[in-house]
Amino acid sequence: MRPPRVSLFFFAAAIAFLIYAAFSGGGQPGPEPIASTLAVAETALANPHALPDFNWRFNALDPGVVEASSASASFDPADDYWGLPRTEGVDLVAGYCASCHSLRIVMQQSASEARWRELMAWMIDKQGMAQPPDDDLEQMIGYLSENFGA
Amino acid sequence: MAPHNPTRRTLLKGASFAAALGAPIPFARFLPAGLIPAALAQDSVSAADFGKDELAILGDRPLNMETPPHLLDDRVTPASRFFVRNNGLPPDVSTAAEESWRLTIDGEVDNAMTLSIADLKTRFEPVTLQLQLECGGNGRRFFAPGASGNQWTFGAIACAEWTGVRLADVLNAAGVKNSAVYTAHYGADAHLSGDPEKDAISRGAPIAKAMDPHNLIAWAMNGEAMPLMNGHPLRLVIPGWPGSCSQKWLTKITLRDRVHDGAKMTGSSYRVPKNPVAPGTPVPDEDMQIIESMPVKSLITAPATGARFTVGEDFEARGHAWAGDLDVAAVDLSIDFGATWFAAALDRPVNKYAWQHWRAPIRFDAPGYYEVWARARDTEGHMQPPLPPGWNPKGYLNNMMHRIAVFAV
Repeated sequence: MRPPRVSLFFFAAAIAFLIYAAFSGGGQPGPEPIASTLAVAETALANPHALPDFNWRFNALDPGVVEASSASASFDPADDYWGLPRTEGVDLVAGYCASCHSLRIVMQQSASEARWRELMAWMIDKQGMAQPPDDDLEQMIGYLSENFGA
Repeated sequence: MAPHNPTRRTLLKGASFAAALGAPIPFARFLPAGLIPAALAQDSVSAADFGKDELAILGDRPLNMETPPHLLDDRVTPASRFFVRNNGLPPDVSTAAEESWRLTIDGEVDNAMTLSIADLKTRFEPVTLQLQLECGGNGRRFFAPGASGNQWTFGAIACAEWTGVRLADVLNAAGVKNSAVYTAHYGADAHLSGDPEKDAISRGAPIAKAMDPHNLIAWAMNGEAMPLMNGHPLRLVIPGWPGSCSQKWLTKITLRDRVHDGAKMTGSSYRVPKNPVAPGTPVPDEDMQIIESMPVKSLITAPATGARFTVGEDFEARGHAWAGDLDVAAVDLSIDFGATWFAAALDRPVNKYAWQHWRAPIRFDAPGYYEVWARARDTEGHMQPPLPPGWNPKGYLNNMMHRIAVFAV
């Protein structure tokens, strides 16, 4: 489950409003408005991942490229399943997908169920993935769209 | 007999690999004989393992790494900071030996040829050019709904100084038949599945683009052998178009009498909708077209995002701009979230397809949080948009403005 997305513009607007409010003073003599505005922004800089939707909308505070973008999991080489969420289907996804490629690429995705269905068909038809039984395929598509959904 | 969920018995088959992994391999039975489980490569690889600086690793099989914008500040990108985009498994160093490498030119030519790298160096005029290469999926991460593939942000771009011979000279030496329409490029990297019948990637270009004198068959980057992960010992450099046209570990170029249909030429690979679609719309293959020139774009490479300056202090913002087959005509900057803009000083490219460098002095007169936004314009008037343009199923061609955060204190 991912926290609700808040668009970049809400965030930018919030920052802009804070700056505006700080400069305008809002008609009320507040306690060091500039300092408090900077404190908000600098807290964000120190911990950009705490920002709503940080992982999904470009935020200029991002110092660069960081981890996989899906909020529900991140790659962990020390973990038995490399950080994949332990919901039904994890064995299937680990087994089939990691036979050819890194699970990091799986964990970066945010695709709808329909897109996951297309991707699995492409993997099987074009990329040499073993054809899973129907039940297993459905379980994998369910797992992927639940944990790495659009 | 259809396979079923993992059982103790199937787990045992993977026992030896599992011991190495410290984890079970539920589908050990699917591992082709002799293939090392990919999971063994799913380890704590670092960019330094591949001779690279602090690049971000998007995936280790296939290996994909991008460069944070502030590490792209050099006018000519050092080899250690050149991004890595792989579709398959690169050849190892021993098979990538320069002495034994061969390049075949065949198909719609008068005389098919097989050339060594020494042949290329002695029979054709060597050329050195600064050429930028960008992955077609650079910026994919910012599309919504999400587009599948490596989630590149800004750093799948670089501009190195390449040395090689003109692709056109080599094709002309083979004699391009009038029937030739499109090139097909082949390399020595293996398909991820291990299937020797499959190409990891095989793309091409229309003959008119292929004959552009800036395309190189290159053996050197910045005056030295290029890193293995960037195509050593021989690669194509076809600047201005998606990097995938520039086949690494190049072994063969076939001229075809029709558009190439190789791996990642069809479907949604390196193709975008012919007409704009609403985000998330499924697009049938027949309504897609092959990407040609990349769009106008720029990067802010200094300061690094998050920089702090004293109120009233002058500093320089700088970076690079490029525009696919076109030149960049202007770069404008904004420090007020796009409300007002001012022009940066912009250099001419040292040669066509080289990065154009830009710079501008900036000073903040009041404390607070600022963003520097950069917006390039090409010679035909196209500008960078503030948001990802033209949603497409695979998330190509995102040339949205680059923005950095700056604090005035």
